[in-house]
Amino acid sequence: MKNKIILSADTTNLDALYQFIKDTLEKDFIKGVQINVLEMVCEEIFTNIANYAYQDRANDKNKGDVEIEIETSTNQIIFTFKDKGTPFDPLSVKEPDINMTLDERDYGGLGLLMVKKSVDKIEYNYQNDENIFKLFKTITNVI
Amino acid sequence: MNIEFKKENENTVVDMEGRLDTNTAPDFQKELEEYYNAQGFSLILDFEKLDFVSSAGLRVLLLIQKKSKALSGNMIIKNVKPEIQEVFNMTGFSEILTIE
Repeated sequence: MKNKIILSADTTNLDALYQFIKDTLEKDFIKGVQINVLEMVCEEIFTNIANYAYQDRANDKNKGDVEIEIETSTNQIIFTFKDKGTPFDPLSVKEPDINMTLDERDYGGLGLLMVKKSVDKIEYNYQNDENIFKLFKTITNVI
Repeated sequence: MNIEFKKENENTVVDMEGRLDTNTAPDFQKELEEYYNAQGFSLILDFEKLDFVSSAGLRVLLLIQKKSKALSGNMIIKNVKPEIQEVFNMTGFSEILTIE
């Protein structure tokens, strides 16, 4: 089943995004997934878009939109994020070295690393002036 | 996210409930500021009711951990859910933080 929501690219909409994830999984009777992990993953992607995709409209009231689709089936959930902002391939970001000591550590790059390690597959495409970012999460322990 | 402070012996225990995300992390940092800026501070963060920590939350934890080294302080994180522990492992934070 496909479920869609369009939100303005502003982090104040994160609670609406969490609610959409929860409602969708309940409505489609999806069990055997950790909802807090899915919320964390979607937080990272949405926040990235909110902070960087529409920087040219930073002072604009209309921030630009993000379309989020959740497609559920018996063994997998697919999240699709679409925005019309600056082309950005999240897969091109260099991963931070996780073996650095406390002193060497800085504060960047962790979000995408967490996303990559929390889902089973990631795809990025730029089509029709849109960033299209897909996350695939396999459902285990189907009840 | 809700934060509650209580004193246990020399320690300040912080009960955290909800999500430590990009919206709540700045408030969390602000509320803890007076503690982690004190010489020899001792903080215990109780994660029992915490749903998740995003990268914005990790940044604040890293900041406090750096402060603890500079000010001879201490931060212990306890009652960590497996999913959050997994995030600490995948980012290497489990090697940096004190988790009980």
